[in-house]
Amino acid sequence: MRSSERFVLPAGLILSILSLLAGILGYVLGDSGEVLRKAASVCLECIGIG
Amino acid sequence: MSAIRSEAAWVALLLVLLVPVGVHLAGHRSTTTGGGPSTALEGAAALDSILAASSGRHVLLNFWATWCTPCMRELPVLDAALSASGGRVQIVAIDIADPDPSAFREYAADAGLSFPLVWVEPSEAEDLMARFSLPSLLPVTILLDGGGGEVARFSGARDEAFFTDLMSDPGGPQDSAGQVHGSDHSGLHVSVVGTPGDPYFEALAAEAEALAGAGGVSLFDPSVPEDSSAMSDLLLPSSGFPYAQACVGDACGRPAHDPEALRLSVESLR
Amino acid sequence: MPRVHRDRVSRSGRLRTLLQAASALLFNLHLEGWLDGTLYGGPSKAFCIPGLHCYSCPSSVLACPAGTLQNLLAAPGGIPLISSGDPWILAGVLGFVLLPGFVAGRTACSHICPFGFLQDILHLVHLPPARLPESLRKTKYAILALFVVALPLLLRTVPGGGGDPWFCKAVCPSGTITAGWPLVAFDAGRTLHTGFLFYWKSAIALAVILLSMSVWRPFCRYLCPLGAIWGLAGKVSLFGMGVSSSCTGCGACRRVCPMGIEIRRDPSSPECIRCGRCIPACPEGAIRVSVRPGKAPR
Repeated sequence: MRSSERFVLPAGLILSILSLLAGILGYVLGDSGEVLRKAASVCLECIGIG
Repeated sequence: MSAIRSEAAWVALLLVLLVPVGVHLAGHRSTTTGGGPSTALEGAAALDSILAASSGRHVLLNFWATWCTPCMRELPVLDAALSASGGRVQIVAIDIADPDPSAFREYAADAGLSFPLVWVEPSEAEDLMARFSLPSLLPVTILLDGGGGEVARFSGARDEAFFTDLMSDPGGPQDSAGQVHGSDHSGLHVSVVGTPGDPYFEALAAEAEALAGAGGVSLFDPSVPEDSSAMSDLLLPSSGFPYAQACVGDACGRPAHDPEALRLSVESLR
Repeated sequence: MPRVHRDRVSRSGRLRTLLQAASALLFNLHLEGWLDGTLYGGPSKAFCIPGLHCYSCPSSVLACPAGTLQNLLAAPGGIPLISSGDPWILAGVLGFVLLPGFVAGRTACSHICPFGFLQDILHLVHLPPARLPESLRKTKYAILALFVVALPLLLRTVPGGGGDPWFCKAVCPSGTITAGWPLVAFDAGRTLHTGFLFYWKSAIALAVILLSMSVWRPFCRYLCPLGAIWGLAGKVSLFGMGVSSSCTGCGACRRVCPMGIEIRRDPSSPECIRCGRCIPACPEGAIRVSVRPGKAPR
């Protein structure tokens, strides 16, 4: 149990850094449509106005 | 006992928070269209040509996006309400917030809607937002009268009953969620049929507008296919042009061929 | 009465408050939104903040990570990794959310999050403290699992459409207060229709506001899904709290703790928001920030 606990932090740090880099790479390579389009307009019912 | 109650407190809180999900599922009656391809156009120019072809009829502009789930829920609802309205209103649904058209095309391929869908790219979307003073909210529905003026606008999705009411009496008073700019001649509506440019047609149209206000007049050009099919939906005679027919609610007068006859017809309906 | 090191309270406490205020301001540079009811649509909105602040707030210039996650998972076309074509953005947001957690646990909750800041301010009003069951703290994990992940991903009721962002839609008081209320107020009944959903969320928001004056940070304790993620990661995070053997168990740390916990019992507690108020409060100086690869000793 103790050895697997010690494994979690390095694994978590590496995975989250890699994920972040993947996101940056995707953004740079042009895959920004999804997030940007949601930022331009807002779905009313989605924020509880309805 | 109190230990059990306090241990389960988080479950109770969770169940309370889940109430809106339950309400959503309970009230959810999925309006479907039966599928099939819909008319899918791209570019603001396509929208402009639809608006030009619809001149004289009310136009309902619905602004949506493929990622806006309530918007997607509203499109089949509009379709169902349209069938009930008898063709008085032209609906155009504009996808104004999808930078990429692929999701739009995928949806349109099997949406089964009987009105056109138009996708616009981001720069055109900005122009449209300025042109119609659109807020950064979705969905937004704007009702235009026959002359292209704004009659009412609504933000947020509405249900079928709402749109059926709206489209069965587009020139009439709206509910508290809308703003009325049109006439308030107590439900008087005049349909004027003829060729634009024909002086008799123009005289009838002017008299109709004086009697019913700009929001209470619909103009039909029988040589235009959409107008022709709308006329048959509304049971307007397809001969004897030009003429004007006045209706108050479901009661209609005989077709009038000159302004004086139109005035008499309107008076007889009151 | 335990002796409190007032100088250190002032300095580190002031720095933290300054950071909270600076963050709140930095994330809300579109101040004109409050004058005309418009939302900011510029490029910065593509990026998330390390905290809870609604992207639909008129002044917000960044996006909420919880909202972004839900919208990505709710994308039409099924499981995002397979069909929506945005696995990169999803990975990026997950990495952005997880990294601060693995580095410093819930530190952003106490130093950056605008909604946490709001609760701190509300708690300056001291209503009689409500005694709520400790088990309510578990609710936030269920909220994370259900409202942020499972429901947006799996509950699809529109043919051809996606899911709904259920946390934003049905729960989030930050969204109600900073986005829902202003947008409805600006509309003044002209075009918007407010129904059950709006009033339900408003009731939740009012309850959180009132409770914040009686219980410190009730949203952070019981409801916040972001805090849930960071709390879990914080159990093993690189930086954390450490309690030395000079602790006498006097409980002074608990009296100043916004989250109502006694840090000596579990220095890497998922409830701890790493605000540091306990450090100067400890009469023995037994509490400190520590770098620990792995679980804290004792």
